[in-house]
Amino acid sequence: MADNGRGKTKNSLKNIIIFLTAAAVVLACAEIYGEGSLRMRNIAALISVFLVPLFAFAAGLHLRPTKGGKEPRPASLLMIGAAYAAMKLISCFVGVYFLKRSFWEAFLSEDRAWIFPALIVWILAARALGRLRPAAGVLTGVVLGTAAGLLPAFPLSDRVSGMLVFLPFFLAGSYLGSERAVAVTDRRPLKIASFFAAALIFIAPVLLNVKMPGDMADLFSGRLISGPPLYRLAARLAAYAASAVVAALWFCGIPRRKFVFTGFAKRAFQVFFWHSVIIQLWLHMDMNSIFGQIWAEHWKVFFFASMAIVMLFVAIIPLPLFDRFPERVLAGRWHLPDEGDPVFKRMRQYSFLFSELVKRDFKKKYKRTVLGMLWSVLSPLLTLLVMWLVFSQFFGRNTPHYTVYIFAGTLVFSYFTESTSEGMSSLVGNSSIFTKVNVPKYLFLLSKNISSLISFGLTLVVFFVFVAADKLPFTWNYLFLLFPICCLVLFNIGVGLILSALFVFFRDIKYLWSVFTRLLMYMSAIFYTIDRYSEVAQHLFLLNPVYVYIRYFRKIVIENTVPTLWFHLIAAGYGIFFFYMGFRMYKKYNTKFLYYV
Amino acid sequence: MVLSVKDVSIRYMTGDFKDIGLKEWVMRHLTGNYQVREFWAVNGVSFDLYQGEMLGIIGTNGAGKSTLLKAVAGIMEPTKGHVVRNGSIVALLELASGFDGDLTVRENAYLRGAMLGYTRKFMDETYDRIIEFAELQDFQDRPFKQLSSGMKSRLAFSIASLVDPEILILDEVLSVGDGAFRKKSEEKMRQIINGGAATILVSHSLSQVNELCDKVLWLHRGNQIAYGETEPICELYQRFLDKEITLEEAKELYNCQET
Repeated sequence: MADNGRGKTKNSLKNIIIFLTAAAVVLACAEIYGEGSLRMRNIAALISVFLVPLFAFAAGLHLRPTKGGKEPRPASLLMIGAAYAAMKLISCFVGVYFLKRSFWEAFLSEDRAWIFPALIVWILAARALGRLRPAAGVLTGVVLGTAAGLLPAFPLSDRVSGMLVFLPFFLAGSYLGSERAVAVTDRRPLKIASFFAAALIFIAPVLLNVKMPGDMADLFSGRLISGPPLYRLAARLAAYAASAVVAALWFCGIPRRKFVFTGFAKRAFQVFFWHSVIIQLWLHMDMNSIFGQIWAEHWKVFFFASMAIVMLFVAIIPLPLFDRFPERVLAGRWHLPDEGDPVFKRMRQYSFLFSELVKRDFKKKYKRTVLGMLWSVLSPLLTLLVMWLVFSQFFGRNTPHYTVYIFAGTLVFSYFTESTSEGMSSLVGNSSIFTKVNVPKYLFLLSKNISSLISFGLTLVVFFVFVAADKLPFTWNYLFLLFPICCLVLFNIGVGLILSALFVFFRDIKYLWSVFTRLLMYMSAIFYTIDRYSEVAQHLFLLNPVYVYIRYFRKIVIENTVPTLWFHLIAAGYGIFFFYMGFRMYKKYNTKFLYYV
Repeated sequence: MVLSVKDVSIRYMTGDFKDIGLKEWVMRHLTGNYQVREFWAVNGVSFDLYQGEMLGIIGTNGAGKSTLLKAVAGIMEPTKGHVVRNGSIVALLELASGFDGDLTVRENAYLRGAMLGYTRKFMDETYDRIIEFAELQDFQDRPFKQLSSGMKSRLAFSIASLVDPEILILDEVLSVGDGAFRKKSEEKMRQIINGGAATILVSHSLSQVNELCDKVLWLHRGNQIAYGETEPICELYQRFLDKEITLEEAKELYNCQET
């Protein structure tokens, strides 16, 4: 036992040295990043983008006492680093497209390296206090987080509001610091001392001259600190050290006491995590640009709107991939094949079944057809041909790029009808399986959806051929098409879940649905334009989710413009809403299907 | 304890809105004939199973055996009571069903393997053995529906017999195929059982139960009639089947033996 203890001390000493070295590199990078020649800044930017979070997490993981001799796997660290890098890259693209800046400008625009640890701190406040009482933890998280966000809006003196902003970090850090000390030594004086030591670290940036920013974004950025260079350096050092220490302390604390999130507390925690991620994305925008100015003016709207979206999203967390996602990421267990993790064990177990189901559905779909898979391309093409003949030859419409216009409509619409009407029968059709074997029933719907997504992908390729034939320019804007496709997938899965559940109980839905899709087709402006309607009527079209997605496609492809932010929100809102409703329905009736098939 | 079933009850509803459809629902309301009937397929059944043990479940048709097994396997949620499983569980229920007639034998084998929780690697490695055991070498790429029913159950058994679970549920699977195959399959089954799994066996063959099982659970119309040592219960059950005694007498006799 004693031997073991000594070994541990030695190990942690080594780890502390690693950690300090890592912190030093991070800090050096951060400093160069702000100043220096362009080349130096480029290098530093690269290093900080990829390595800052990596080091912070590596440090945290190394300091964590290893459990059962299991070392943290490098893969998980790389994944976290990659995730951060991806976020940075996405925000760069946003900069390039919305702000019309050069890529490098966007890339170098802000130094927000330490927001990542700061995020952890925020979550931590809720978590740490949640150890005492889960609800209290959540409440504290909400209050402190919101306070930190809202405070800069109040006309308090710089220093006071600065102090208040740092209060949650201060509290959480010192609480955890002292807890850790007790866990190690069990001595009261040390606990008190460490509390104040941690407190001092957290209060340091405030004590060292902090200028209060006008908006929340500055709070997390390097711009928070102003003054003579030496002060700035010191304050930054302190801030970095503080957040790194918190990360490390946090990791040290975790395995000792497992805090189990349940019910509301779990959901609330997830909301905070995802919301922080979104905020992080937004914070990467340049505040001096137009978009940044809009953000600075309306950041409250953004803040609460994204909060609402995330809340909706989090409500569907039972999906294995998302389940306990933040905890897994923070605990460095993000890699897929993890023997110990029941969620991933299930996922891996069912991934084989899932791929077999997809194969089966795809094979069965074209069984005994002469042209086979070609039909998934051919049938929308034939529909297109009919529509084109009827409307452009007989009715003589002359909308510009009319073929592409109809094709965009039929492309989206046929994907929608195919995946929903096939998905509808997914539960009933597989009843002989799930009454005999214990498998998650949503797999059947998902596999149907995948096979229709494949057909959609094939048709999309043909669509691009048409676009090229129509001499429409291909631009980088086409990358934005991924957005409506993702939304559409969510939307289709959601509608499919609702329909398949209903279909178990009421077979009538099959007939009703075919009538409804016919109606929806005429309402979706597939072959006509809506310009000649009044403005109110045009807005009413937005109530139709399918129309929204079709419109998005046309905007990108025909008009070559990126839709507004509101349009994005509407598109995402429909997808997430229906997905959420579908999942609620599935969850509710999951155990009842068996009695009715 | 590997498996603990505590006071499990399962209720089927008949005659509710979802069951009879709109027209019938309105009609019954109009005629004042509307009533939702409850049907307890399983009613308050409890038993425990330890590692390496084998439990036989006996009972006439409609005793709720299969429903109970579904609850044990986690396919169904019990309406009342709960099931605690400590270990992986594999249920081999009505083996030959759940295959897809349009797919080939090979595809069906993989699909079934996936459902039983095997990995792709495992299937790649054992596929040849499965086919060999099922004696279907010449039928691998034939559509499944062209197979005879005996072949179907042979394939089903061959795939399922590769399992290595902590809890194994067998619903009438020991009686598969022709004489030669039955012998082979029984041998294989015994191998698995001897591997240390806790097993639940549903069988109409009393001699089989008598021979294999450590404990027996007798169900009748969802109710637990007797649970305990194999021989006395099997004997009572046999006498009940031969109409020598009624159910009540059997219950009484069993209770006398217990005390």
